[in-house]
Amino acid sequence: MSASILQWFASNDERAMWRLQSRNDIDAFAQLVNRWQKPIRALCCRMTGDIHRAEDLAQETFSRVFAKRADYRPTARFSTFIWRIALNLCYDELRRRQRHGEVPLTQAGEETGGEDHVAVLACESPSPDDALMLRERADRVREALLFLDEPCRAVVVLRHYENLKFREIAEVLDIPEGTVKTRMTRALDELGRHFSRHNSLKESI
Amino acid sequence: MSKRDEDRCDGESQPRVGEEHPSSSEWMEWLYGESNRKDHQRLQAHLNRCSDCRGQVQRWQAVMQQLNAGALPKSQPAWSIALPTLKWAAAAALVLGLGFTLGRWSNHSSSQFAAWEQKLQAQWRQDMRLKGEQLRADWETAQKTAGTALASQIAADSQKLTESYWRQFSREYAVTRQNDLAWLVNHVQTLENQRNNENSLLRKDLETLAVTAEGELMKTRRQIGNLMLLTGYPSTPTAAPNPAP
Repeated sequence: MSASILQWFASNDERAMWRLQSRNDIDAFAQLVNRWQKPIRALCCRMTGDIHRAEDLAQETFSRVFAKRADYRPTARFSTFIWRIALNLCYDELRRRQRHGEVPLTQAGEETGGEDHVAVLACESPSPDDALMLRERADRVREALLFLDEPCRAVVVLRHYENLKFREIAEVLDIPEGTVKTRMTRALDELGRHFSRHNSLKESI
Repeated sequence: MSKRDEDRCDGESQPRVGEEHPSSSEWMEWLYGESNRKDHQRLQAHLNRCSDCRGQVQRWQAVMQQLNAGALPKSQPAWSIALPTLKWAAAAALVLGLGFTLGRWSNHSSSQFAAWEQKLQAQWRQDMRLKGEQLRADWETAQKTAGTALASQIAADSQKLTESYWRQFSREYAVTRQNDLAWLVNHVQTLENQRNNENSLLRKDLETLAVTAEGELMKTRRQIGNLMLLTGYPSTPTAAPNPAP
């Protein structure tokens, strides 16, 4: 009874997840994938700095969601569930990359012209000069994000880009809300210093 | 930045004596629009008074602005969640717009609309009357035709039924009569046989009686003759009783 009442008031994501969990409803799963594909891919891209790897990680995230559907608690929010899975996959990817000494795509993209980064820019048919400028700025921002440590980067990505409340981020990361705000402050301070260094370097050149 | 000394603040308006600087957590909430109205006003007032905090907040805002350069397209969930509301809003707008348009149209052409309505009503009444008459005529014709046909059918059926009953009665009567006759003949025959048997038995009994009586009579005559001889009665009797036939 309580489950049906909860389901009545739940959002589409929770309903779809319940259908997937209780009836193995593939249509519900497809609905979740369609709705969450872009945000999860963006999160993975910003956390790893690799658009190609982000595609794989997003697919891996949905595979985990399907595999772990029995672990999902009907009282929990689906967004928390999927953000947590995606972030853990990103952490695993970064640790694996660190062990193998791989170069992030941000740096590799500069060598190849970084064409892949243009595809994810939110710009509406800019002129070639503007496109170049926007691409450089976007690359610089993503590069700056990679300078942050992983906990601060996760907070920035979730708060600034994915527009989660601090309370929701605390729920996803399973840490106190005050810690989230502290990490956000530290991230903004470090990013400010990074941008200042970059600007001063550019001016000297 | 949880608490700063007052001497860090300067500018046109100084912070109040004993006033604490907002913490970085409070500023984060303020920057991302998560602080409630009371805190927002308090922080805004402090920001107007404290140039130190103003500088720090401006640096953070600059960083946030630069972060916006790396923005990707908007997240799907927010749009998806708002989609049902937008659908209802679009439907409501459509209904309201339709109502408004109809209202405007009916207001401007009310006289024309009334004339059309009257004309349509007259036409409709005429059509309905014609259809009603036609329907009634059809019904009566059908009723007559159906009545005649029904009567003929009933008569034919009655005749057939009567004939059928009569034939059946005749057949059954003949059979019954034949059976009764056979039974009667049989019974008479039986009675006759029984009477014959009784007659024959009676005759046999009479014959037996006659034979027995004649034997006894002869026996009696001999005894009488012997008796006469013994007693010396004249030898020629004058009269002798007749023997039984």
